[in-house]
Amino acid sequence: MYSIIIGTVLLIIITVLWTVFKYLLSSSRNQNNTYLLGNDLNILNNKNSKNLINTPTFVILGPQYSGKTTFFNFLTTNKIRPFVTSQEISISNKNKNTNHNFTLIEFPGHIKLVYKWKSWLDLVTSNPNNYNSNTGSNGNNKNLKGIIFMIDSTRDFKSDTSNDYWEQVAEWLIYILDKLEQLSYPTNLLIACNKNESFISRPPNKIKSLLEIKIGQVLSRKKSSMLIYPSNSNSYKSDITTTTTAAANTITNMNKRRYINGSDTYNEDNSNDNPLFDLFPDPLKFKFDSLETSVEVLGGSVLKQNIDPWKQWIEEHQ
Amino acid sequence: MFEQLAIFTPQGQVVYEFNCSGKKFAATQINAFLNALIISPVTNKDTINGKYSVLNVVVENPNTTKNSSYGNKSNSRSFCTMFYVSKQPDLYFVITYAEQSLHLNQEAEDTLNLALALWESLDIPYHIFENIKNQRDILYDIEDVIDKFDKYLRTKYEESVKYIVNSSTFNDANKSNNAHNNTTKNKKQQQQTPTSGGRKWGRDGVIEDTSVYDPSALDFSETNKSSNVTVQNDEAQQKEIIDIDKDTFGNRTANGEFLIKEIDDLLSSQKETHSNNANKPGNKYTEKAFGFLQRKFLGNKTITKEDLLSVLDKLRQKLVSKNVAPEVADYLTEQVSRDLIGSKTANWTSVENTARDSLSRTLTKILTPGVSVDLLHDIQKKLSKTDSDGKKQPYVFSIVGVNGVGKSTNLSKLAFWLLQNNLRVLIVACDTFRSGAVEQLRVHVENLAQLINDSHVRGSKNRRGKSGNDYVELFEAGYGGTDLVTKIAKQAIKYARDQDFDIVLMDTAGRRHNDATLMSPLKAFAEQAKPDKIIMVGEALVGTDSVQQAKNFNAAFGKARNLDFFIISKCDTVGEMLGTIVNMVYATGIPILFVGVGQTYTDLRALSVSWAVNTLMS
Repeated sequence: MYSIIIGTVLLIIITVLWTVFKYLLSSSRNQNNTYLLGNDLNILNNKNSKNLINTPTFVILGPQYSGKTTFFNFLTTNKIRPFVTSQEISISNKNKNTNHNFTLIEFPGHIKLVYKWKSWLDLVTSNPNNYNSNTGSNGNNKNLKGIIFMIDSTRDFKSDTSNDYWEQVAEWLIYILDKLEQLSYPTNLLIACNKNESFISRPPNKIKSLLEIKIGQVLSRKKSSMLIYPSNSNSYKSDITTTTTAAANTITNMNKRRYINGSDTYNEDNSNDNPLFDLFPDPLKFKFDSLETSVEVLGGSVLKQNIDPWKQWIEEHQ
Repeated sequence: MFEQLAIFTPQGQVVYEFNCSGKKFAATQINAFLNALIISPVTNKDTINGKYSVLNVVVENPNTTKNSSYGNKSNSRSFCTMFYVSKQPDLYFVITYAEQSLHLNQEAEDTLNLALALWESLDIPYHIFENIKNQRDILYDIEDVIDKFDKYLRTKYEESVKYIVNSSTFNDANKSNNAHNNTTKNKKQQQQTPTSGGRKWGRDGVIEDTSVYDPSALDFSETNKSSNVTVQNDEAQQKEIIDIDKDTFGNRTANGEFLIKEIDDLLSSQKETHSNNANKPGNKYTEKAFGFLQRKFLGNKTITKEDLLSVLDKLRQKLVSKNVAPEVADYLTEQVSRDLIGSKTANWTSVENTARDSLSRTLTKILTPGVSVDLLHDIQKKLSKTDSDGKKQPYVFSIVGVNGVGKSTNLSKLAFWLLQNNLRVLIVACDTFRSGAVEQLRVHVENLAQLINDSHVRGSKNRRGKSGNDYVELFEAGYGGTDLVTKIAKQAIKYARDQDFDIVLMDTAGRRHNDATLMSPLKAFAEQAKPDKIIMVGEALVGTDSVQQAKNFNAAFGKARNLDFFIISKCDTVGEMLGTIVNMVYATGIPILFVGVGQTYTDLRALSVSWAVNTLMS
């Protein structure tokens, strides 16, 4: 009788030991393995905070075809190669081109894949107060050293298609700046104007002023269209309960909402998410210099290997 | 002849490129393919033999806007791609060719087969995998192997495909091949010697056998023998040729012949190892014992198909219970298994959680719009342009959908939102069929007018003698047949332009999506009225049928025009069962702009993808 019990206990102990041993073995071998297997599992849905940025990290973002992957590859391998549209995130800890050690993450720029960096940025910059038990991490750990937002400086300012391009850039910059402004520590944003080897490329200061105007326009448009909340905002629930009231009632309610409180009520709801609105009561007067985040606009060219200004910026800010 | 073959990682690193016509590798073509791949609705892909996928890509000229390219496809160049995605490491094998024809499809498939076989037999996947694992440059130390691969592939491709296509030119170029060619030609001729015998039927219906052909033509063993002999002869000949006189016979082709032999050896040896691997008994009891623990608690497990079976079944049932169509649920779970099989779970993560994460990522990817959805920006852009008279063209929306899904209600919500943004709105009653449709819109217009201007008296006419006030107005022309609809639409747009309205909102009659007689007028309507945005309203309540609804409505406007957005109404009535949202986007790849969450004019919300995904996954 006793022998059976002892036997089972022994068996269990051996099993546990063996698993621990195996686990240790495999974990030492595969630490970086899953990280880079091509699916973004561990970046986007990180369960152990350990893997989320714990070294100084720089991120490369930007629209499609601006040369992000080429730049990433040049920094990490010191080689210029042909690339096609990225669909997944690239990460590297080894940087051959710079002496210092930091993690470099590059996100795809396709509009359908933008959610990847948006959700990552949400995670990394999430407020420690609303600690996210689901993700198990409060990303506010000061390791996000800077964001390199890469754009194609050969886009002209006038034509219709380029206008869309700059609008898009402005919108994304607003998203990024909104997040960065909420951080408790100062971060840095570099707007890297790539492809300045081309004769149609615009100088960085021109691009800067254009972006300020565009951002102002987009901000003011957003302000006026505040009425449409995203479907997950808190007001959603409360609205459902009021919908049961009679139509005539609701119309007077809405009249009240509109004429007594004015459209400001909607802004108050969302002011926490958009610190840019607080900073610029008149959005059209948007200026990069009045932000807490330090924003620099520098030109360069990956193809011609002229990236010294950017490299210097990275070295200064890590 | 195909155009390009490219092998690249999902990160965008091109590992190998091959332009068939000898031109410079054009990355733009591959980019166009990737764009199409990322955006296209999942249902648009064909598969060949269950291994390769085929995708037709239309490259629109970036200088033509959507409106001007309407019904005119001359600017666009289309091509076809066949691709294969390998796992461990993730690599895309893509082949592009001009059009989908039987011959080209076959060639592309053969070439892909060849490339894959060579790729594996040269052990490149292993090298790349090691490089990724050790965080090295992905091409570290394998440039030589890739060069070899390139050489092999070119030789083999020329041999197998070009050879047949334009063998005559090759004959002139390669003299040393002549001997070989001649024998094969002889062989062919032998087989093609006229055997035009056959049967004749006599008047009485009795078959008269008139065949006089040589029975030896049927004896294939003979030819086989002779072909064997010729091959042997051939090799002997080649050796002789090379031994005797290397220089005069051209080094390249002789090399080529050798290469092909080398390649064939390589490929056959690969096959053998494959079959060996398959025969190896997978007797790993220890793995099994710890597999359970790893699966449930420890993590760090390589996921196999068996691990996923029960988990995926659970997830699938959950999706179906949330009103996701079974077809869509199948697709989603298949995506998850494709994503996960062969990969490793993270430490302390169970297989189930990993699968859930993967599923929510797949959902996010489907629901995220592939185009910019800033409506106000679009409107402002169009309104900022004036024509020769100094008038601006109004921005035209038309709303379509099945009966009773809430077209008019959502139209008025949209109108309210546009009014809030200081735009002048003309609401057009294009539903000339259902009794009361016009009156219903009039009530909405009265409500909206009152909301904008408190002093508006209900039922009063504005200074143009229409219902509504200066900001919002109803354009009506009574009830009638289908031709009346397009007439009203055209008149309304002209009226809006003359009276300086910014927005024209057209309400159309509800129609059953599977009734061709009701659906066909839609095409004419879209061609005549040329709306800037066609919005389909679908209700969250509908369930599985939503896939067909979205497909049919999208197809109703012809090839040149698609729906632009969906509005999903009645989301407040379904609780967590938001499956319709996924179904409609899955079927068409068209984004959802708004969701309706109630009955007042403010109950219109921009779709938040994370909210939808979280609700579906909860």
